[in-house]
Amino acid sequence: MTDFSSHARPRRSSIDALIFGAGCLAMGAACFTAWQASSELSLRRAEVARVVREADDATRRLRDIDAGRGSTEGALAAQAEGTLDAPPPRVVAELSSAMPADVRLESVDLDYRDRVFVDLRVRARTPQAYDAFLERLSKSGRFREIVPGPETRSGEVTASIRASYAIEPTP
Amino acid sequence: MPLDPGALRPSPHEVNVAEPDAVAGALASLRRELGGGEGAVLVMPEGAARVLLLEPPRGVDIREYARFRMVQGLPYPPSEAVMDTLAVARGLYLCGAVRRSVARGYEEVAESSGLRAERLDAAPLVAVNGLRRRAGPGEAGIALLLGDSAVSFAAFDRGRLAVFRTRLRQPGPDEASWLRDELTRTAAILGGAPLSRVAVVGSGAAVTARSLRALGLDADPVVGGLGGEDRTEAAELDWLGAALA
Repeated sequence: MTDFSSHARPRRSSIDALIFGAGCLAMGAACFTAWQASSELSLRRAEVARVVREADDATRRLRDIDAGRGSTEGALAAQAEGTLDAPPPRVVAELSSAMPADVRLESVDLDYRDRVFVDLRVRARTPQAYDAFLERLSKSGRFREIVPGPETRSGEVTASIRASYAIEPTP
Repeated sequence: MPLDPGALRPSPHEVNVAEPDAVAGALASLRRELGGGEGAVLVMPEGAARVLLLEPPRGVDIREYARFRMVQGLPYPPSEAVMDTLAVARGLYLCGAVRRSVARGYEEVAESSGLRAERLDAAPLVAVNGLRRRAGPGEAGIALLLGDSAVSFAAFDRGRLAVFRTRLRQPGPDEASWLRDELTRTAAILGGAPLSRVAVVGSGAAVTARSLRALGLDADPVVGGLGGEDRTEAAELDWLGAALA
């Protein structure tokens, strides 16, 4: 068919159609290749992200291990230092000096960490004697963070106390 | 839908629509009869387009070759030419050129009647396109394409379009003799073969065919499957229907 319209109209001859078809095929192939490349790129990016994530995890684990090792070492150092500066006899002696005559020490647990924690189990003949022990303990300057635990006041007083031992006496 | 004589004056270089109102009115009536559709294929009559049969050298784009060959004989600036080509055989093209103002004249009169020109074609190319489909592989003969102002001679050899010529009509009592002479020349160009069968199509085909038969030629009007010589002049154009189908 021929067309002599005064204004140009889009034509599609058989060759044009062939070229158009070839163009479509080429575009399709290009799109497929691009899609494949994009897919490959996505896979590669995901792989890189996974490796980076694993590396970060490994670094973090290493850092934690180092930190743990550091804290352990610090704790051990503090424990060693605490053992040197606050040996059990000295702590017990300090406790004994703070005890009134009506209070008896039943057990002592020393826990050497960054500080030296003291868990006491005491028996007092009277509540007044127990209160006097707590007061003298706090005024000794060697014991801080004194936390009175459970106590029974049926005549005698049995109680547990947790405190920290100060290597350097508090003024 | 008949038009008054002179309403259209087919010419390759002047506006063809001499009476726009009459033509638009006829087109509007035709449109109403056809149901009021808008889209239409307009076919310009013989004489509006310059037509050449060209065989471009191998590897040469036919449009470029057609422009190169046709602009040499155009009676208007080449930049005003709208060209198109019809492949009629392998490596053989029927090429047409229409002046843009001529084409616009047909489009405008169609638009004023409510029609929208989806395509603007030229009668010689439409006719050849239809006839070459009808021609058998070994068929030889000349088709006489009649227009109101011009006539084309399309010679087929072994079913293939071989010669295409266009001449202005010579109306008058001796036109049949003139047509016979032109047919003889066309046959000579074809290779000197004796003038065989003549198929007459277009405006006045039946009358012209009778006149040519009276001169001893084997001439028949081509009226498709719609009827014979006794049909109206409009019916003789039904090859358009076959060509456009």
